Amino acid sequence: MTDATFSAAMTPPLGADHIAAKAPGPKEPGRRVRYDGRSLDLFWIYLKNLVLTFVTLGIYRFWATTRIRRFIWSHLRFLDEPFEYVGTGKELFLGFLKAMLALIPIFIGLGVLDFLFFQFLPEFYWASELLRFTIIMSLIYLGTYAAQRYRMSRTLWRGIRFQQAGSAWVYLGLAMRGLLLTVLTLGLYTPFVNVRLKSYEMNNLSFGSQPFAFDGQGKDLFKPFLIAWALALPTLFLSMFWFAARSYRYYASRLSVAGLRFAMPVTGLQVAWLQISNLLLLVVSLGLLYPVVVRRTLDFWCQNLAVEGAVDFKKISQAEQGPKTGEGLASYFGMDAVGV
Amino acid sequence: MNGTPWTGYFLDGRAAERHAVTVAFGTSALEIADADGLPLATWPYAELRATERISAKRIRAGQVLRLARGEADEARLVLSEVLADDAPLDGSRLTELLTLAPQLASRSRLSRQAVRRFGLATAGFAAVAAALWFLWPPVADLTAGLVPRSWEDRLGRRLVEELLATGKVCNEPAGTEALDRLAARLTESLTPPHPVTVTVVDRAEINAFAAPGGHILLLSGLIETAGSAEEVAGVLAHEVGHTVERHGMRSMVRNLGAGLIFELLSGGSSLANVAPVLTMLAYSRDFEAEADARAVELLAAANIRTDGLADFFARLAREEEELPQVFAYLSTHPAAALRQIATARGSPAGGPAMTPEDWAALQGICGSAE
Ligand SMILES: [Zn+2]
Repeated sequence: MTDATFSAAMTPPLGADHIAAKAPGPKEPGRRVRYDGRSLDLFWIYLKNLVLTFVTLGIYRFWATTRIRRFIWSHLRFLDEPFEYVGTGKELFLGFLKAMLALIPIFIGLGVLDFLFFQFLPEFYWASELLRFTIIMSLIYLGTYAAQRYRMSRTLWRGIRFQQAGSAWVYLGLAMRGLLLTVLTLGLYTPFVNVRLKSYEMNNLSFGSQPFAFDGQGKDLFKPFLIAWALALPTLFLSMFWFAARSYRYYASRLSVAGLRFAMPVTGLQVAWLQISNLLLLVVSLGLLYPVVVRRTLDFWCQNLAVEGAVDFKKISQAEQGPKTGEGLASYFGMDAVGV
Repeated sequence: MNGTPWTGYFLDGRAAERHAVTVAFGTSALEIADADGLPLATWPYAELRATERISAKRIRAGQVLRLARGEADEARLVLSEVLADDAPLDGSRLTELLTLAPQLASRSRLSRQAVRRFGLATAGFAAVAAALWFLWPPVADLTAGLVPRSWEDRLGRRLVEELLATGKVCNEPAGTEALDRLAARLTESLTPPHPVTVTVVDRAEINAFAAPGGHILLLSGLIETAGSAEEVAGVLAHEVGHTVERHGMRSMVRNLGAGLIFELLSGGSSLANVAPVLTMLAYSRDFEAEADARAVELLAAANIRTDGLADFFARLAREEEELPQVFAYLSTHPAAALRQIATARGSPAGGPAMTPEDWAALQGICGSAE
């Protein structure tokens, strides 16, 4: 691929877009995905959010999350077109209330059960603890999937919504089966369950009418995992960063949508440095450098994502309507990965 | 009106393709037409919305303007060249648009209406939280009252078993007899009767526990460091006070519910580790005061001088800095200094808690004289 075709593709024509394969360097102006939000702007939003969340006794936090997402989404551009977050604080708030109503009976039930086991079946008290653990894990998986569904349905690009189809319950089934097998195999099943979950998630994701396709197989990551697993103790688990990078490369290479293919040539060292330095920044600044961390994280992934292929945008039509309220369960358990 | 039409692209919200468009200012709406001049859409000024807030002052050359119609419609109109490099803002297309659709430049999203709504919501939330704060303890006490005595007894025994796992039981016969006599004297006056079982565990910490169902644990550190039999009697009376008031059961229900309510309202991320039964034995300050008051009554009824508990706390406060194991008692029985004042009404009137022989036997209950 020559630079001429590459730069020709830089300003997308109005019809079909042909995108050249190239892993763009950090300063490359034609990066396929870029984040151009200024940390200072995000910092003011973040600060205002902190104050308002505090004076409203926490109620504002749903609107705070929404503002941050709106900012980040709108500064994240793919093919020179920004994403747009169209969710609202009200939806998140209503989702939270719904989750609360659902959780009250569950936790009262668990409390009573715990008490009864302690009283009458002390020798089976472990069963009560196992049940509690299982239910909480299940809620986490269900919540994660539902949150993903909401977030995707509120993400717009070129006026078209993303859509996370599939069932949170099927996802939960896969996850729990995977968890059990992982425990039984002392962790060796990890790459299989990882890929299986990623596969379910991705094969149920679509951009408008265009489904994403993911054809990864757990066995392809088994050897790298074995190596990382064997080296975990001598390397103080740093080998797991290497495995994570290997997984990202693999996931990207197995993903496609609307004729586009992806590559994510990251190394374990890069991933380790990004995560460790981000953690240090947050800890040292008591969280105030959160906007910088967001910028570094998004810059890193954007710079390393290469996209190739041709899209006929005419053929991509709108997705079905998403859920009416948002996230719910995920507002508990603090499961927001980047905090957005 | 400007001679050159305003250009940009239009996303119709049905397909992902961009339509190159020109935009003209109609009388009451933006008129959007494709490259051939065919009309694509007409957007009334009143319904226009900017997807990102625009501030006319901060607009930069080369910036684009993204417009939407209403809240739900996914169609987007993206206008380029909002401001040419050298064009002045006054009289520009942007100022014209802002005059026709002033809501596009509205300063802040936090309108007066939003402030009022959040204010009301916060007040409502605070009211709910306050109501729960005051209503929950009586509700919890009612709930605790519904638990059958036999359950309470069994639960207490289980808790004691858990605690006993951490040390050996002291049961030299003479010491045990002395202790049982003291416990019997203290509970004699109670109607209906409240039997208690007192167990001494061989541990250096200065502490005592009252589990549900009248199961009381004394750690040997408390007996060994006590200055007199009256101090031990005071502590024991205090724990019996907890038993009589059913503080164990009541605080279990209270704490369980309070933890749940707090986590649910705050959206706490620690719901995953809702505290299990065992951590529920820390008593609130009002329970401690109640137990202290009960202790004085019980001691007086048993004709034992009532200043033992006050002495115990006074000594504890003095030794706090020297003896690390004192912390154990202070952490489950907070604000020792304050309570010393509360129990100061204990008086030296009344007899001794036990005979000197019994006191010696009690101090040797763990058998280890060394
Ligand atoms: Zn107490």
